Amino acid sequence: MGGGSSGGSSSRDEFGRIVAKMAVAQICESVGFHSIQASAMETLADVAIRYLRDLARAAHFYSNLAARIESNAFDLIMAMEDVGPAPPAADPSRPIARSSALREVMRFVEYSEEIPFARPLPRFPVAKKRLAAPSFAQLGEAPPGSHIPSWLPALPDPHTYRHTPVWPDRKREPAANRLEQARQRRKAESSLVALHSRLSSTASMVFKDREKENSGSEENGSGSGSGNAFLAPPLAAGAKELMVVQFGGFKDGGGGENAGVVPQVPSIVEAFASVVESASNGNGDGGLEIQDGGGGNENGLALAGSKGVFAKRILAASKQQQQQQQQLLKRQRSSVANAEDDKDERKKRAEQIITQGMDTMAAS
Amino acid sequence: DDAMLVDFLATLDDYIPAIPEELVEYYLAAGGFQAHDSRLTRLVAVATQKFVSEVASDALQHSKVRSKSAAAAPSSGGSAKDPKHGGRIVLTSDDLAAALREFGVNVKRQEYYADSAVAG
Repeated sequence: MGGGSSGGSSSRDEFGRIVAKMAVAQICESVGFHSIQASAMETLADVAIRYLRDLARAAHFYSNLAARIESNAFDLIMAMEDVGPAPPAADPSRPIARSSALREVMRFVEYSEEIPFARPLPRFPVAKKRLAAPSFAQLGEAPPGSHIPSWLPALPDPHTYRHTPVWPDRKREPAANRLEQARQRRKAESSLVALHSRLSSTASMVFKDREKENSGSEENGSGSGSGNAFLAPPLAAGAKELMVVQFGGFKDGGGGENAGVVPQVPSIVEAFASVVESASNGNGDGGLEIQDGGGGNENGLALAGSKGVFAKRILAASKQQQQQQQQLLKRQRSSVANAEDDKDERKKRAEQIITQGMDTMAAS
Repeated sequence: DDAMLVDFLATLDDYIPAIPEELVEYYLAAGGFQAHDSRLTRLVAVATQKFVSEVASDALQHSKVRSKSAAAAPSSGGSAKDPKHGGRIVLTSDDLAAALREFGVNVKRQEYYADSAVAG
């Protein structure tokens, strides 16, 4: 059985064939079959499509024969007689309305059930709308040369056929970029400093009673209410020993960081408190020293070996903290910072960190 | 008679054929049939549906005959008839070919495929 499609329209036909297969399968199901072989289904679909086409061609021929281009019902009935099985007694003088093919179809309609098709279908084949190229008149351009009428399509843009260099699109000047970078760096530094000072302030807070140091007002008031770390409530089972940095430890509320949050005794200090206690009570030299890397690592608590050293350390740290805070405030208060100001401050900070490191080294 | 035809066309308005109208219109256009009356397209769809259902019912008869004859044979009586009674009536190419031959369509099916040494 030939595939029904002529020449290269097989892709358009594909959809039609699939739909025909579905329709044929539905009809078979209504007849009583439970399933159908694939090759049988394809064959039957091909036959059905061929039947349709033959009906159409025959009806068209009959209408052409009668010098018409549009077919009507009589053409169709005659085509049905042509296509269908031969009527028992072909009588040319019989009126067309009595044709057996028609009668059989009528009988079929009367007695059979309707089987609506299972899926909704769009009209096919779908024709894609092609955008026509705009004409000179549509674009409002004057055609180059008087011999070109304006209703012709416009000439293509020069960038389509000529290579033009592409410059990067600069939204901002380089100076503004540098300022922006400096600002971001400053912000990062300030947050690092804040974290660092909070860590050291908690350390100083824990040893406040022991050292009897008045570390100034940067201690958070309510957080030190418990004071002694050993009297603080123990960690819940499975609680992580994380540094919960949530206390408004600064004078001015931390300058934009978590201000006004309920302060808590950081648990990492509790964890280390016992260690430090044992270290300070035991031999002075052996201690553990968790080095706070010069200015970079903000998470470390610098614990030194002996108690006295530690006291000095803490004192130094708290003093530095004050300094840092003041600097921080200064920085935050200054609205515009030139690049040079920034460099100065960075230099200062670098020196600070260096002195801090040297203190540690000198102390140990 | 003409009145019968007119009535019939009127009844066609209600009938929804199994073959969707879009498909019918596509193939009618491919054949050159220009119908501006939706009842004509429905008539074509109904005629095709009738044709296909006739072929299918003939194939059903063939398969039933075959299953009965297979059941009558003493050797493979039980196994051959079981599928039909199990509720799985399958339209095979053989039955379809037999049914189509009566309509003048000759469909030949390959007996075997010699794809590989195993199959052939």
